[in-house]
Amino acid sequence: MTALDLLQKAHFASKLPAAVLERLAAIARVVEWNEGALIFREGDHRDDLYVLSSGHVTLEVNVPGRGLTRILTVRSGELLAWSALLGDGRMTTSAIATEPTQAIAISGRELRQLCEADHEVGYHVMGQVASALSQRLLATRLQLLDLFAKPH
Amino acid sequence: MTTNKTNASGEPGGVSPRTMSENIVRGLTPSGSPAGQVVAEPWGYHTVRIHEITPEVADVATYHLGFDDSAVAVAYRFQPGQFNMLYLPGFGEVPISLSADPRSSTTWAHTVRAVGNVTQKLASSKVGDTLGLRGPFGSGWPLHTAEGHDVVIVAGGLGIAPLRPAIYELLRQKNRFRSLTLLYGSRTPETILFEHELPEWSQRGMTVQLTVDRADAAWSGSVGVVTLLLDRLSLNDPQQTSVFMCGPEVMMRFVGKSALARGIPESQLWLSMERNMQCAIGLCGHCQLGPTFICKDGPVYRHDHLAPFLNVEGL
Ligand SMILES: Cc1cc2nc3c(=O)[nH]c(=O)nc-3n(C[C@H](O)[C@H](O)[C@H](O)COP(=O)(O)OP(=O)(O)OC[C@H]3O[C@@H](n4cnc5c(N)ncnc54)[C@H](O)[C@@H]3O)c2cc1C
Ligand code: FES
Repeated sequence: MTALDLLQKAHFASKLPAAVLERLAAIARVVEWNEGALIFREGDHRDDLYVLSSGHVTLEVNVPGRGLTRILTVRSGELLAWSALLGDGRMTTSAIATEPTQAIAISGRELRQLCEADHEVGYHVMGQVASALSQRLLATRLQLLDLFAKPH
Repeated sequence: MTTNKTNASGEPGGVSPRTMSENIVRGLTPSGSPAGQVVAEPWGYHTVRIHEITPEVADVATYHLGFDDSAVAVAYRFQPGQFNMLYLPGFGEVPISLSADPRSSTTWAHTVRAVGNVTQKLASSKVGDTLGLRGPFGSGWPLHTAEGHDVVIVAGGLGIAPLRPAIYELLRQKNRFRSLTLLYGSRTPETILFEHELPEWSQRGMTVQLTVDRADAAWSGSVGVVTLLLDRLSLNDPQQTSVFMCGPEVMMRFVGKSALARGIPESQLWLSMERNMQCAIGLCGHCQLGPTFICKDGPVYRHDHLAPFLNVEGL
């Protein structure tokens, strides 16, 4: 399958107009990782952001005194390594493929250029990124509340 | 809002009256006797004996209780979702959901987390010890309303206990539903309740998705809150999907939000509530939430009947 085929199926891209999808596909490529592959390490600089098309990726943070703590599983259709687009490209977690995983990789630098050159594309892409991040923020808040802890 | 109806039949508050046996999927009731029947005066206790204790996870155990009086044992019935008041003399009384198979006929399971005075005393009990039981009380999961639907059960933490009887019934009556899915969120891999039963439930036709809030690198399953599982679930037809949820109130608020955003009608969302209780029969007001008494009108409610009160400070 081409990057365009995979993008068309991904939940992340489900609300993007066809013309925007085509522009994204033109700068995208398909990548694959074996089970157990370390995709990036916390603190690494990376240019690519990913939309998973199959498989699972687990995000881990190293907590001093506690060791590696798994904080989130990213699944097919979802966004990975958003710091490549919005931040300075420094990864905020480590990412490990917990099963054979395929993704659409897009260069953050090229995507930023595309968004700057064509604000219509930028509007749609940033809208989807914001929606994905707000869902993740909400989930993180619920995680922080530690709802299933024993009452004191 | 019509939640304040008398609820002797076990029907969730605000729903048109039905006979007891209609309340769970029609035809489910063992030996044709009414489900959810209160077998004694609501204030009267029956002596029950602990026949077996199954340690589940840290601080949680399942107590398999049997009635000393065999006539009571024969007559006792409950609906999935209902609860009993368990009385430990000298310590007090607590509402605890039945986590048993509703077709149980010898012992009735209650899965309890030791949090305070009464539940910690229960945790120090041994097989053969006796306690008092009155019940069953409250409304059950109205499984009949989901016939022909895709059924999604969302459980968080100990919230799986009151849903377990419903899961047994849904699996038994699987052909009446288009599909069965369990989305279960636990705090850590070590606190997953009924883990040994999950493979059997999936073998029998239920899609089981599990997630934990936190884990170390030894856990290869999903990490993240249970609401994400619902956000990601692919739905055949939201209009023909029913959701039964139980867990901490904040979790249920967000599960409700996610379900509505996915297009599932609010009239097909059901939740089970908890509040401190004393009388369990709608007299003392301890369990009041807005205009409704959870012991009598609940604990199982339709989402739209309770939503206005879910987010109100002090209620
Ligand atoms: C309808 C219903 C069904 C229930 N089903 C179950 C069940 O199947 N298994 C089970 O373990 N518990 C269940 N509960 C909760 C259980 O009744 C309480 O945990 C119990 O009453 C605590 O009593 P205690 O004397 O041990 O603790 P207390 O000494 O009264 O309280 C100790 C601590 O626990 C907190 N606490 C008390 N009740 C609750 C509660 N409901 N939720 C969260 N924190 C609480 C208190 O605020 C306090 O911090 C149910 C409650 C209701 C209303
Ligand atoms: S416990 Fe509900 S009114 Fe008394």
